[in-house]
Amino acid sequence: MKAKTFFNLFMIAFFIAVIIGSYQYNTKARLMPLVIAFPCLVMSIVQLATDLRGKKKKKVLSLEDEMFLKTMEKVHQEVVEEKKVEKTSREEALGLLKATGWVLLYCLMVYLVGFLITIPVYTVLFMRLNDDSWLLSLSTAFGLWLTIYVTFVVLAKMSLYDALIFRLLEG
Amino acid sequence: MFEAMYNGLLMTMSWQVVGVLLITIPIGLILGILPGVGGKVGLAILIPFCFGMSPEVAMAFLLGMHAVVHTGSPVPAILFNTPDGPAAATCIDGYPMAQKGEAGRALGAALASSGFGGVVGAVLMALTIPVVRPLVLAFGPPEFFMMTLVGITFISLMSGGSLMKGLIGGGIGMTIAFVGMDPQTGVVRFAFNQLYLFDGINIVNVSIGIFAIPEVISMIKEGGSIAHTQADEVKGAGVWQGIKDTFIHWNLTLRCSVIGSIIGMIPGLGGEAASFICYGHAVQTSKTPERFGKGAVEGVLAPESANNSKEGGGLIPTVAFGVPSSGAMAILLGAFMIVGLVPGQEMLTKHLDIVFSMVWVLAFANIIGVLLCLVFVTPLAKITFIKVSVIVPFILVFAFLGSFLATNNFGDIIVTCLLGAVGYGMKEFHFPRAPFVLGAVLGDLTENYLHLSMNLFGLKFLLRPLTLMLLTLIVLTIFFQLRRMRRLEKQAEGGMV
Repeated sequence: MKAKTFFNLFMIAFFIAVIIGSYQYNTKARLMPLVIAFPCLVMSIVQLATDLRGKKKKKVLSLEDEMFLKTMEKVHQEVVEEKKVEKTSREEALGLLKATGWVLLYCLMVYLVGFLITIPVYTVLFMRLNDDSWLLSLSTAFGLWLTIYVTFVVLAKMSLYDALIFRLLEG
Repeated sequence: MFEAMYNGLLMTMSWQVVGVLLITIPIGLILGILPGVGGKVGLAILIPFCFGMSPEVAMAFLLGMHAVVHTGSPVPAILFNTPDGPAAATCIDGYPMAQKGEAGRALGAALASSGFGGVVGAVLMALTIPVVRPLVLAFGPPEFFMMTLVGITFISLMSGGSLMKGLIGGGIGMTIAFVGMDPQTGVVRFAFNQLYLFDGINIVNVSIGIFAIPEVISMIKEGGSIAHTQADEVKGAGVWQGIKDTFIHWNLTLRCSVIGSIIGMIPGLGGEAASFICYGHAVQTSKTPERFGKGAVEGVLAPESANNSKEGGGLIPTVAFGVPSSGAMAILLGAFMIVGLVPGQEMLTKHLDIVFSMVWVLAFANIIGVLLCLVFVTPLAKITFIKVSVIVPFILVFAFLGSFLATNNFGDIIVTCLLGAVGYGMKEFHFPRAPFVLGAVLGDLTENYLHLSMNLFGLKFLLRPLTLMLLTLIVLTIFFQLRRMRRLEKQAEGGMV
């Protein structure tokens, strides 16, 4: 199954869930969710059918997209050529997996050790693994940490997230 | 009215507002220079900083940044041929000018016309307020209910080929707004027995999840740096010539600023359309159209003046009717609501001084932005060479910290991640994301207006003249968009044969 079809199915499932969920509430509370979810469900189904049916059709672009693309084609031939380096679907999937992994790692680190430790450690880790020098990585990490610490902890007197590790240590 | 205008000026001149403007204007310029980051991501990650600010300071904080995003964008467009959205039109003549050794002149012209356009947009906004005010005051809950639907429909047009995708996006956004306690009935909806969800999903998490996280994922995937070529040093004399060009061609600059401002008022049309339409206008009205595309300075002046003037026009439907004209305006609307600035009658009566303060902020931000850009153009251009690996940790910190600060709960970060996944899917499969955010912003208001209308008039609220007019507008918009799509499809099929 193609990712696009999967995403369309996700939309359909979402609106079905909203409709089913809405019937648990009284008439007044469910009115608006149903007013929105029913037509959106129909549109999602039509969208899925259109995508499945219309694969052979040439893509229809908006006026702005057409103008933008025409200009891009005309003026930025070199840039377009450079960006046209085809990636295989496997490479695409790996790239997406890697990018998602980095975002999730950030969340996990914040959950475990909090913002003030995550910020420098993650920055150094991310930059070093992307071939930046130690000096640049460490200075960026320190600068970023200092900005956040001074702005939020010292000046705004905010308490950042109480991480799991500190809660465990406190018992 | 004049009193409100004066109060707005006093408000803008307060040290808090001037202070935040001096902080956010450089941020806006940097975001504009970094293609791929842009104003929407910037707005999304800056919203959390507004917590605790008074409405007028928070407004200046966000609007000051947003007003100058397009002032910075011609820098990479002219020097490196690396445009971001509307600046693509500037490339057509800006880059050839740079190749001819006239980079300074092109930049001077772009920046001066940007500033000029921004100020004209602000003036037009001020002139429109007295016209729009009586109309807004004539509206009741049924008309505002219809206006929220008009907003969703119009912004869905930004989906380009598929109106349906835009409407689906808006529908999901609205459903997100229904999560939590329903103020009308006290029923907790779609909370899955999670205490965190009882208060609903904060618009900050929606904006960051839908706009910032997908951009971060794309950046990590693509890697590298934004610009690949080294530009020549920008020379002062050329910059001054460019500034003079703006005033030599004052007629064109003024016309394009007015056109840009009007386009900005039309929901769903903004963005690239304003700059390309004005570029086309410059070509059509020129006595020597053959010079365009080869480095004509008018080709830089026209799109750049339109780019900045459209923001003034775009604020009118946003603050008066709650109908934002672009994705950035949708986020801005959400931010205004967070700090207690609800669009509509209240905005044009109780907060009229803040509305005029917006006019002043727009004007001052554009002037300060242009001056800063002119002074620091060479170091600012170097920002384009910053590697993605340096930018990503910054965006992630502000995105997740901002999400967390929405309600000081780790649930905010989880929700932002989930919405980030949805946002990435929408980006990949060409579902416009602005209607999603607008739906989330307007969902509560729409429901409130619907219940008020039903309580006051029953179903007869649909038969009120203004309501009927707005309903007709929605139906006609959908009808003409579908007809246009069908025509384009037929043309495409014809082209394939």
